[in-house]
Amino acid sequence: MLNYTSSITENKNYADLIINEISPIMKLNLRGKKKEFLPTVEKTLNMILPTEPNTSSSSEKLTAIWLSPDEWMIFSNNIAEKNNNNYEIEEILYNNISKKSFGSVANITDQFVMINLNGTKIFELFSFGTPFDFSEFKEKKGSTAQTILNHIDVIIHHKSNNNVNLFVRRSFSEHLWSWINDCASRL
Amino acid sequence: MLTQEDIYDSYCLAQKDYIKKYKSKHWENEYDNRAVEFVAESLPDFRNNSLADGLNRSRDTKEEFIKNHFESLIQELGREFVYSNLETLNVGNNKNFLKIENTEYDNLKIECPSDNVKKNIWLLPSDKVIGKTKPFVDFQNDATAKDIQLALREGFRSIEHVKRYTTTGMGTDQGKLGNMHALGIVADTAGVKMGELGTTTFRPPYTPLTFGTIVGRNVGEFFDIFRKTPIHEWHEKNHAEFENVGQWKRAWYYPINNETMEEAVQRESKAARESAGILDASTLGKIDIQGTDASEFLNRVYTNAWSKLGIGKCRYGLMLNEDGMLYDDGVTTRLDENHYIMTTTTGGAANVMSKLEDFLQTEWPELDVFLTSITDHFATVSVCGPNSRKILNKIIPNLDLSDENFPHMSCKHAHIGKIKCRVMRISFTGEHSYEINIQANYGKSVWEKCMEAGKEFNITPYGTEAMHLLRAEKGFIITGQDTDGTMTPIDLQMDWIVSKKKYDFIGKRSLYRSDTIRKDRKQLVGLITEDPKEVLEEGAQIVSEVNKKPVEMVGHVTSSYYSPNLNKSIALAVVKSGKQMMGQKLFVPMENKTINVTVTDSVFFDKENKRLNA
Repeated sequence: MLNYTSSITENKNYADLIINEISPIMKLNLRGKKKEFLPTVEKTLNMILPTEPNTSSSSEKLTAIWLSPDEWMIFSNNIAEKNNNNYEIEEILYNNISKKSFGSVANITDQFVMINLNGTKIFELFSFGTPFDFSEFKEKKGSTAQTILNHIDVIIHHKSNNNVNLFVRRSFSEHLWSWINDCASRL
Repeated sequence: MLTQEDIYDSYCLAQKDYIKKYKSKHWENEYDNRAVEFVAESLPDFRNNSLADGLNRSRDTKEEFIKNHFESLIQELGREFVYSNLETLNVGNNKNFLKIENTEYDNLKIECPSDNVKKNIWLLPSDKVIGKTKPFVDFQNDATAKDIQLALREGFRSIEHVKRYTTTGMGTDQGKLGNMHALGIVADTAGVKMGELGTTTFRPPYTPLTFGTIVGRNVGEFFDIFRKTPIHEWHEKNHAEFENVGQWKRAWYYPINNETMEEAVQRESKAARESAGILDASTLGKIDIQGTDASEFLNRVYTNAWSKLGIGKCRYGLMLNEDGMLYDDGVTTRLDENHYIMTTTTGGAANVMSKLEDFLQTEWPELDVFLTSITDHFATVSVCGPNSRKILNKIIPNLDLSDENFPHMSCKHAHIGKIKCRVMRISFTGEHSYEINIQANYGKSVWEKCMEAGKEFNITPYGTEAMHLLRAEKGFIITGQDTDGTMTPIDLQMDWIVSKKKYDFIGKRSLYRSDTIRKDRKQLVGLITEDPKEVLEEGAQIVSEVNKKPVEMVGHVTSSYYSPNLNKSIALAVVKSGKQMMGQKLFVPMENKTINVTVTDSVFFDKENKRLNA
């Protein structure tokens, strides 16, 4: 039996800001541009993939983030089990997409760490280290952005009002977490 | 009733420029020029405010307002009174108006040059020729006054051109520190007034900022970004020393009982060969490649052939630049008919990914291939040594590890408990080795399991330094250490990996250039020192004749170690015509001595590769 060790092990509460890692969350990278790709994915997942840049779509179980004209990230809305890494959706998608050469399906569950930020000071915190203009972003639920925060590539997903998911590569996550907390303490 | 103060105000409003204008156009025939000039020259304009308010409220233009006001004064008070008051309101009599008597400034003596012409000095004079000085103007881009003067000599007159030619004002301060000086120097040099030059486009920051605002929190521990492997915490707890590789912190060596680095590396290297060693290889870049043209894609980016690689098999590949020089290397595994996983060097991962994606989008858009970076998704635990099979068998007992089922350069899907993983039998040390690739969040646990299982075999964690030593014993290259962007596969004596049958691959054409087929190019060879305990310095130059003047350098040392497994010093070097110099004596002149070396084959240890299947 293997132990599960996430890179961030603590939750942090600040005035008007709560930060914590949510794990394990299954994450998949989907790529494809053949005409069969979108219908097959949408039928398999029972949800529509966003085709408008920097937007997302959600179903009861999954959320899909637009990454590029032929690339999406799918992640589960619910926490997965820690004692196994069998993801049924991954297997079905791999068989329906990769095996049939409609596109590619890659498991990136631990490629990204998902940090949830909740509170009214989120965008003030981001302003410490990102050049991105969030004025439109924060008005629109479901909007997404691929930008840099403290020089680190991140994907930001506007989950709901004053609630944001931040995806960062695992190897950078500890450093970024430390930076976020340093900035949050100065808000 | 208008007071004397109102009259004063009305004159004050008539500033010099306006009055000159009216004098020439409107007032010449109507009013006394003498009065106008008097107003223009003698009255200070600091009392404009009260009439300025009136002007703001008025619908008249400024000219009309002044004229009307002046006329109303004359009508009300009479021309004579107005003009007589003008006479009394000269500078000397301001004290009467302001009701100030005997100020302390009356006897103040101001010393100034006789020619009291004001002049800004943008470039301080020097007793040296400007070419010999460095009068910096832009502190961020190191643009100097002489650069600006050169720009003008080169014919750039527009300030925008001077800016682009010299990069003055193009730093993050956008010229807030140096642009005024730059404009002044341009104006002085071009012999024009500053105002005639215009300014460069005004960009933020519009107001002065502190450096802290620009730098942000990138200080102290946040000065530089670092990446950690999933097993980093274990390394820290076990007193590893770390080295920076790209942005990664990699375990360098694990000193025990105050060992020096050299002692630790010798111990780790010996243990890996004699029993078992374990290395955190999570930092290697990993790219998931899928698509019907995946094999063709690999054929184009690597020098060797990929179409016939069996599913579940691994192959080493060299990636070249368009100039034919080695760019990156790594092992790629075929997971399925149209599915590969490529590994890259740690430092080259991002560049390789970017380069491959660039080729796919711009050069080969017809290929049905998709790339996904999965470097961080996997932790990689490499177990090597004669007892590695026994250790792996304890961790994954249901995996058949026999050479028949699981030969060198192959891959198996497995489970550790309920966790899926991939195990590859590949080796960078020349030993019988396994690399376990598992989802990153289980990586630390797998490492600990390996340590537990390997305890009876004295499994020894080894860092990057011992890894470098072990691979050098086998003559395996490290891109960036034994290569420097000028080495072709043929220079590296790796002709065997360059396909002669393939139609094309990146860099193929360049391998046939006259320069790249020269026989006297620097080529990778091994060096053995005459004194086996003498370890050469990496980077040391190599000569063929000691007393020749000027010194003719024939190459340099790229990797050098004392091998505990061979009990002698070994080195890899690049030497001109090295392939033809086997057995030849060369010299490495150092500060206090000259070291005698012999050119040898670059493989020092287990030339028959017997240990891979030991």
